[in-house]
Amino acid sequence: METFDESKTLDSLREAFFKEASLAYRLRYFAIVAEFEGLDRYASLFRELAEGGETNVHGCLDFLRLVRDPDSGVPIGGTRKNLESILQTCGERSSQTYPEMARLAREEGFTDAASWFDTLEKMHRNQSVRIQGVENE
Amino acid sequence: MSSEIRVLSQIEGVRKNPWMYIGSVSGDGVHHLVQELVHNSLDEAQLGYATRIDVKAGIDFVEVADDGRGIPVAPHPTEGVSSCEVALTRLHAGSKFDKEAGMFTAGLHGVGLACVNALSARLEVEVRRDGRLYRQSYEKGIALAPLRQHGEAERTGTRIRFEPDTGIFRDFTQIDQGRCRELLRELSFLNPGLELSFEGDGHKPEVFRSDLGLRGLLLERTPPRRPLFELPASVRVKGEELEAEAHLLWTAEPGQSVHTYVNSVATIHGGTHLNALRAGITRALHRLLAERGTWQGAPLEVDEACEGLLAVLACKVSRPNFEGQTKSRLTNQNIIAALENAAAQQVLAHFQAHPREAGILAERLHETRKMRLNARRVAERIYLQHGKREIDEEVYKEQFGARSKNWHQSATWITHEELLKAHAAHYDGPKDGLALDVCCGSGVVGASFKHKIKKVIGLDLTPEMINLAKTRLDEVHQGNVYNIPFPAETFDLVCTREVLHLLPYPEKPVSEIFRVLKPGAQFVVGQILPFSEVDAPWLFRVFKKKQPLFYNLHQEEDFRRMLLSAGFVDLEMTEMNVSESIDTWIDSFETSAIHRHEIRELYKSAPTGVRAVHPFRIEPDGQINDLWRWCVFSVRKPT
Repeated sequence: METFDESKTLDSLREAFFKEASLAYRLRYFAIVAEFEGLDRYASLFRELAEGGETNVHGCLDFLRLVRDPDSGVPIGGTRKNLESILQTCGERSSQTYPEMARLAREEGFTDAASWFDTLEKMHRNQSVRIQGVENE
Repeated sequence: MSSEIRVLSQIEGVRKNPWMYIGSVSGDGVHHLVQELVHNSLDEAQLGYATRIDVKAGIDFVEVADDGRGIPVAPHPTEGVSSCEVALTRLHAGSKFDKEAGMFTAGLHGVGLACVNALSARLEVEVRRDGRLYRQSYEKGIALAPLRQHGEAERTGTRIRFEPDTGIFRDFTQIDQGRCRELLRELSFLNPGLELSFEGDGHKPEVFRSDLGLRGLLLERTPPRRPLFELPASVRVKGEELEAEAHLLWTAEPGQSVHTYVNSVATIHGGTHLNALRAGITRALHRLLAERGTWQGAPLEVDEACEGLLAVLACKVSRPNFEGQTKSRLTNQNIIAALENAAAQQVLAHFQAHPREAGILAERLHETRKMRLNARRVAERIYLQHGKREIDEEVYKEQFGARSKNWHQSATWITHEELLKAHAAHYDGPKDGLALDVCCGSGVVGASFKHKIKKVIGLDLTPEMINLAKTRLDEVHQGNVYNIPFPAETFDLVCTREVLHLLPYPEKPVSEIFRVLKPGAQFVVGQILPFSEVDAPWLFRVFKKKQPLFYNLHQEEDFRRMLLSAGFVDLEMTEMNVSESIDTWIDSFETSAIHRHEIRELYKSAPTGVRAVHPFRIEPDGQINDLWRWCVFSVRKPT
């Protein structure tokens, strides 16, 4: 019998986590558009669905936390571990993911997208500093 | 009458959680209490019992009086105190909570009077009823003594005076008398024939009364807008659940301005009534265009139909539902069909009966469609030019050519004197020198240096902007900042402002500027920057939605690095905050309607972290004022 740690189910849960998170935020975005179009019923519906989406995301995390963070890949659970995981994520975003994305965007000539990646990079760097600041207090 | 008062609950918790009842404990909250009292009196007027409302305001108190029936004073059947005390101390005790007492009432569904009392340091009530005068005083919602008779009274009515509790409203400094006055003035239009007076601290009483009604409000709100025609279209609905009246004018200005009210309360965030009106107008105008046979392409969109629209819409809704207690947005679905259908039929009938106005409006709708298609083309071209190291000049010419028509009115910063002075203050070069203002626009930045330098030349791509700049600068040339059409080492000063974020690869123009400067000469450049990394992603989205040509969100360290990497030295920076009306700023040709909506949403839902570092204010009428961080840099070419 497969252990949960090595199972395809764990991969599925990880995939479900990202898909649900993505859906929740898309729904919030679409609610703004619906509101603009005067389609209040859809705006309310999208907002309501997005709120439910948070439950779905956290439901996936309830399983994933037994093993590791679906993004950073390090163990999570208590706040100490969670902090380490978030620091790892922020560090990876600001030192690798976004600089690489910005470089690629510039290479392809999409300078506005590159500037957006730069902005995200700095934001995550700032988040790391803030978390470490609280830790040092 | 006293039996009409039905006690549903106590007011415990109002003082603990005041924001649950009045939305905020800032100045807005205090004004909300004023509104509650005025609307209680207004209900008496709407039921035909009161003919006037008098409001007095001092530094720390407001007094509202009406000549209605007077709050019931008889002992309450179950509470053991007077009905007046029940109304002032129990939630949901107002007689209007019983729907049979009046159809279209405002206020907080019977919690208003008790809320005002609970949140007041001191409140005095005076009732004239049945030929007698009664008085009672409260402190923090608690009666100091029972309601007592104080002699006889000739007329009837209620007078309530309250002082906001500064223990609750901690930032309260004084009553906003301007807002109180404006409230009464607006209500006079919404309630034609009703007399409302206002007496501010140290001022003579002013009386507001309008026999023109809602149409008068439209006429008053029109200037400085330029109507396309004089005759407004009107929409009227009279039903059991909804009575509505709207007056509509189309103006030459971009954007739309619709003032909406439900049961005399301003719904500053709109809602179902506004959406229904807009949908009905769109149906009517689409039909009108179809009848004229001149419209081609996709159906008219709501936003196109309402471009330039100035309107007032007042609804009376029997069971209004709002988002939150402050009633800023109506959510009733049951009123949509009636209002939308009435608007569709009556607006169409109006323009069918007035062919001259219909022709003018049809022309405007064609123009709007053309502008939208142009704007879309501009946006598409921006993405199509990707990969190029230089800009597509036509895109910039098209956009800034269109914007030149109201360039100075399109944002505060453009002609902000202190900001211009902050640029000029950096220059310490020769007085007989030569300056270049690159991407000069109307030339205001270059002109701000004229008292310090002999000659200022402008450079811009757009012919319309060049014509504007010629009125301010000594010479203006047409040209591109990526290839500045001047020899190396020509200028003692180059200046520019709020330009580099609009250019892909801004390092190239910076190196061009370096090239044309003489050794030792200065480059002065002003730029809006985020306050920190925290507001940067949020500000990026605001700016990108406002301006499709936005390429870079520079942060301070990037900007410094870019200047120093070009070879400049002696970097100095001054910083100042300039208040900007976001509504004016986004009311612009290049900002699409959906983006304007999304920008407002970004402000309304700004994360806590952003609010902590980036000061902006959403005014009670929904207008947004941002305090931008302007950084003015001075660098020098090494000698």
